[in-house]
Amino acid sequence: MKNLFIALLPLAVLAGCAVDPVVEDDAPNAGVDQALASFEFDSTALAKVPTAETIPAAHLTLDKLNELNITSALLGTTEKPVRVTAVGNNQSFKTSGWELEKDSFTGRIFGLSTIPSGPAVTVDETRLQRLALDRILKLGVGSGEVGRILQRKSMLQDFDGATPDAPTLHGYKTFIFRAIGGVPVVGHRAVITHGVDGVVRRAVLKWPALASTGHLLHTKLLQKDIELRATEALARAGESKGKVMLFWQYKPVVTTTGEVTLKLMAGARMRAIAQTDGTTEEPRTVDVDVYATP
Amino acid sequence: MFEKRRLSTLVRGGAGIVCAALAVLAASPAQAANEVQVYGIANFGGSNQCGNSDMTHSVHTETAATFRATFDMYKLAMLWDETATLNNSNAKGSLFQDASKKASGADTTANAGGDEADVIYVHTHGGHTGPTYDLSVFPPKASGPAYSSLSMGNASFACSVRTDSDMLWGNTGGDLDIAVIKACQSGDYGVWKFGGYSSMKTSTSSLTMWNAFHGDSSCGGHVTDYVGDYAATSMNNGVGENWIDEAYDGAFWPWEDDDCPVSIVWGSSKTARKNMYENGGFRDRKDTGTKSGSTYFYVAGCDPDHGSKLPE
Repeated sequence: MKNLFIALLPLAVLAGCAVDPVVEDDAPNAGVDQALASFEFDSTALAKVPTAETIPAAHLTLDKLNELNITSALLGTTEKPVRVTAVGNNQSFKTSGWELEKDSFTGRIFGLSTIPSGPAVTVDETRLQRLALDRILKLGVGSGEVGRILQRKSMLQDFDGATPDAPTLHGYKTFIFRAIGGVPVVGHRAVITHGVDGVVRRAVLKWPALASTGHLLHTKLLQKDIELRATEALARAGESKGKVMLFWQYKPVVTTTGEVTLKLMAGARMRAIAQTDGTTEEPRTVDVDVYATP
Repeated sequence: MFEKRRLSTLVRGGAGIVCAALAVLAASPAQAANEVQVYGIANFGGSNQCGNSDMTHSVHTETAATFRATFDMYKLAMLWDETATLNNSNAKGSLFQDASKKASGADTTANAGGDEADVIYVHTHGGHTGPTYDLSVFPPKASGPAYSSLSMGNASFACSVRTDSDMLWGNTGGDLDIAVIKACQSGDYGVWKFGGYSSMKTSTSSLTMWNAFHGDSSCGGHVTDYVGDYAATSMNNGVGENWIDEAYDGAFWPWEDDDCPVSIVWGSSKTARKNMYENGGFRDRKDTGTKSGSTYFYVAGCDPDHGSKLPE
């Protein structure tokens, strides 16, 4: 009977005579991981040992993080930006079509178009993704420091009367994550947003310059050693049992110039746990030192 | 920005109104300043703490500190007025309860209550309930309650506060404009769709934005990174959309789920709410008018643990 209702529901919703149920598809994870007496490691992702000998020769450098390069390469305007304010290392600029904030020391960039998005047009999201990638490559990002790319629609849903309106498209977002040799760099990403008219309207980046030397990209530890280190790190974090997935990650270490060096670490990820007070303990990642070497 | 609007209103209103308004401002310093309060609830299960020790996540206070750091920098530049941290046992449940809903409510307590600040950041554990759908009738009937709940830090006060029965923001004596909630299920789509967050405000409330998560959100050092970046980039623009850009993540590893940040904006019109989401900032809190409607902003198809897949 339940299936029949669900099958008929879209028609009923379209006819305006039904509440569209939100299907809660996941049961809380209570009692599964807690039943374990100790940690149970899944080290599958560690099998592929990081192979990058060094950072890619082509990578974002400090000299590329100037406002002229950002406005021309990333935002695509030839207009010279005018500086508005500076707070700490954060500097604000304006052109006739953009507001820009940048902090070369942290690699933070936020460009926002001041021109409202036009009417929606049919777009090719693959093309938008390619254009978004082109923008950060023109900025000076090297193709060898680009990891996974996610193309997503951003949506909005209004609720003014008795029932919410249908969801509507707000824009197209390209999430580009930094990685070296397939190993993700924690916290570094670029998000380029195109409006419904297919025109770029936002660019948010955390992509600091990489130092030319000083990276610790490898480890001599074996899997069993890393599991031991993970057990210790998890214990320090207050954990005592549960399923744990281990993976590689590069943690950025900021130098005095604002450039970052990368340090290989493992991540130990635990699943969400439902608590008795009705809340859920977040799925957490604990960093594991693997005594990285150059 | 509210402060600028308030001053321009004073000038237009004449001397008598100016004097009356100044008296009110003097009596209520919270409403005269740009204030941020951060609550990192990291410790659980200890003496006079809530929950159990497994819930202890030291990162929660680290993200609170990094969120506050941007405001401290702006304060040094005299572009922000007040910052405060209430971590762990100082994050009492009563500070998230409105006196009109709970007798113990103290959300307007000076330099502590959530409704005493213009901006709050909370990092703790969260959950949600309902709504439930009766599929034995056609069309299915939804019923409450529907709410999110947040774990608090002091067992002498409420250990769990609910968005429906405890919280009321920006009402009389309150000042809250923007809440950033880093907690699982703190902005659940089903709860919003049922209207479960509407009782957190009145039509004349100052509360404009609730940036939170649909479903579970991951925790770790990466959160400290993106929360710091979010605060730093959102002082002037993009206070809603930056939250989506910074906190969204698609599942990458096995048995990992999506992180689904959402932004709920209240206001009188679709245009005003969208403008706040795209162009508002912590220092540029747009006037969205009466809080008669809301908009839910999200990433299409985002599919978290402990939450439905968001519509595409």
